[in-house]
Parts: sequence; C-alpha cells; structure tokens
Amino acid sequence: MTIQEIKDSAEAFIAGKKSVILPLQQAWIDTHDKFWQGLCTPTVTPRDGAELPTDQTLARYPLPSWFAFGLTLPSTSRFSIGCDETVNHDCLSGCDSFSFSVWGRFVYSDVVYSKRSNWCEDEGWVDHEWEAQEPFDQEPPE
Amino acid sequence: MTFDPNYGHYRGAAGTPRGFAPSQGVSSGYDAGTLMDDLQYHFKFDTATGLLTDSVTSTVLSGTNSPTTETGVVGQAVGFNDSDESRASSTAAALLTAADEVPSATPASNVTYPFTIICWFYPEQKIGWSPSGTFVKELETGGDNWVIYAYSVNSAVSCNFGFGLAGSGSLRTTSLTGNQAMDAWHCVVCQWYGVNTDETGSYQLYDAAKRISLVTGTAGSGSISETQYATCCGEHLLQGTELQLSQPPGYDLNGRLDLLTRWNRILTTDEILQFYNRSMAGLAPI
Repeated sequence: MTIQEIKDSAEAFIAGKKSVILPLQQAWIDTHDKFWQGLCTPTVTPRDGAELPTDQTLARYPLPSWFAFGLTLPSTSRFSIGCDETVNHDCLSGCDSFSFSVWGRFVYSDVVYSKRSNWCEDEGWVDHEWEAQEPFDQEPPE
Repeated sequence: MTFDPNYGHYRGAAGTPRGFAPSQGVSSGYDAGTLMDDLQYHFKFDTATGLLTDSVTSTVLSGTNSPTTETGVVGQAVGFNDSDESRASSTAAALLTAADEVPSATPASNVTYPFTIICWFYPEQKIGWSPSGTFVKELETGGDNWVIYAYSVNSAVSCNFGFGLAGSGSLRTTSLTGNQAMDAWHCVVCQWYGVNTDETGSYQLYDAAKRISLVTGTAGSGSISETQYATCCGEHLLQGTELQLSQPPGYDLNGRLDLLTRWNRILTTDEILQFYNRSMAGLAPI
C-alpha cells in the first residue's frame, strides 16, 4: 500500500467519525469537566502499510473505552487512531475552554505522519494538514 | 511588575498580587536574593498554585490528555505519560524568547539573549517509536528554538539528558554522559550564552556556547557533578512561538517535571547551588 493510500484511508476514517463523535462528546462534557479521551490504538504505530489489530476496549481509567463511549473502530488498521482532549485557560477571563481532536498516525520510511481534526465551540471542526516528524540523532557523536 | 519582598510575590501595576501564592520570601524567613533577578517563569506544578500555572506571570499552560499531579521534589510535580500522550503547552509571549538575537561581526552591535533553565526531571521507561523523549521545548516559526531532552529513555536502567539549540540553524546539542538512573529525580541545568558568545561570556565570532550540567549531592552539600559544553556553530536564538512540555507522538515522555524555571541570564554556580540545596531540602527555592 502506498503512503498516499494510507493517508487517504486515515482521512476518510476521521471524516466519517466527525458526525458520530461530536454529539457523544457534547453529551459527555455536559456531565464531566472535560471532553472524553480515546487512547491510541493500535498502541504500536503501524509501519509501512502493515495492518495491525485495534483494541476497542482500550480506556484511560476511569474513562470509558472506545466501544463503551459509543465509537466503533475497524478491527484492524494501517494507522493508529486516537482522540485527544485539551483544556485551555484564558488568563484574562479566568475561564477554561475545551477542545478535542480526532487523529490518525502511521510510520512510513521511519517518518511519523499525523493528521488531526480539531473541534472547539468557537471554530467548530478545523482540519489540520498532515504533519511529518522525522527522527534525528540526539545522541552525542562517538 | 515588581517583586515585593514584604508580600513575597510579584505585584502588578495596580498593586495586585501576581503569582507566588501562598506567599513566600521574607514572611517565610528565606530570601531568594538574586534568584529573583531576570526571572522569566517558575512552574511549581503544585496543587495550591495550580498544576500548570506559572508563579511569575500567572500564565496557565494548556493541558492535553490531563497531565497528572505527582509527588514532587518540593510539593507536587506534573506527570506525563507516553501511553496517554499527555502534554502541556503555551503560546503566551510571557513564557517565550522575546525576540531574535542579532548576530554581528561588530561586538558592540551583537545582541544576545542568554538564559538559564533549571528543572528537576524524573524519567521513566517509555515505549514507542523513538528512544528519545522531549521534556521541554521552545518552538520558533520554522521549527525548534531549543530543546531539553533525554535519550535512551526506552531503557529500564538509565538515560542521559541533553540540551540542544536550533534557532537559526540545525539542532546542535550537548549531552551529559553519566547515565542518570530511571525512576529518580535529577536536577538539570541548561544554559545558552548567546550568539557569538563563548562559555566565559566573551564575544567570539561564530561561537555559540551551550552548556548542560547535573547537580547532585545531599541538601546543603550540592555540587555540579558533570557539565558539558558545546561552542559551535554560529546559530542564534529566534523569537519563540510555543513552549511545549513533552512532545508526542515521537518524542513523548514518561516521567515528571518539577520546579521548571527560566532566567534570562547566566546563573552563577552559587545561585545554581542555592536553588539546588533549597529544593533538595524540600523547600521552595524562590
């Protein structure tokens, strides 16, 4: 599978989950102090198109798992899937604002590629460009 | 904003207290002295002051995936976990390098922004793509400005800390070599001397000294047990755009930070040891 095909499938996955996750998150934050977090699965980021099993029961205690929260994942995937929650503090108003982002990630030729779509009350959904994180040698020279 | 020793905290233009709550300073019988000079930020990561609140400017970091409250060197510490990819960040100018340095072949026209960062780090074994983890990083518009990291943090036994500066060039690093134990606190000091400036603070064209040190010893008897310099390569610091603690996906970390503090100058050895000895005794150093 080419890198573009993996990117296309990750983008399609994220796009398809937006309408499902938003009402779930809005219901969740009504009774909790922040959005729900979905832990990264597969936990080992798939490399070079390899297909790895996902784990819908994965959960950050005491939060519910993907499945319990109401989200169904494919049984296998060529990219890792996650949902981050963020709390921003506005020092001027003293208020907190909340956002979450659904993301996909894979490794190809030793570079990590990540794509995320972020949602917050003010802006709605914002799709970010693909990011690439290349390895660099942080160890001292021999 | 000025420091008021009678109140033990900073006070804004209208006399309103900013930071350092509960009050410290004279009222607690300790005078931080010159550690207050050119202090930019001081994160205590304490429950009482706010886990992600800077005690100098009251800026609160954005927290992603709920960084945790952990036992610290002094009070509490902030914890990050590679499995949940927790992290914190801020784009507030108050926490960033204020402007680009101005490199010049004329010493009098050479504008430097030296700084010192002291932080206590508690590395824990991580899994994942990279054996390195970023503890603290500042970005500029084109990439990394400076970074404090540890490598071999996929080891269960030990790792090493490094300090790198990219700014206007590629990342240039200097690293400790002593193999610091996992699951233990380490006091790490990182210093940037400024563009065209060597480790003595003297003007040297194309030198750009950076230094990382490890402080060890019992409370009251601390000493710098290892220090490493790198003086190449003509790069210079740029205006910062974002401060990051931990850096998923590749360079996320498992571990804790406490007492993250930046001064916009080079601290003396005595000042570093004052900070170390106070915090090693479980007392607020500032």
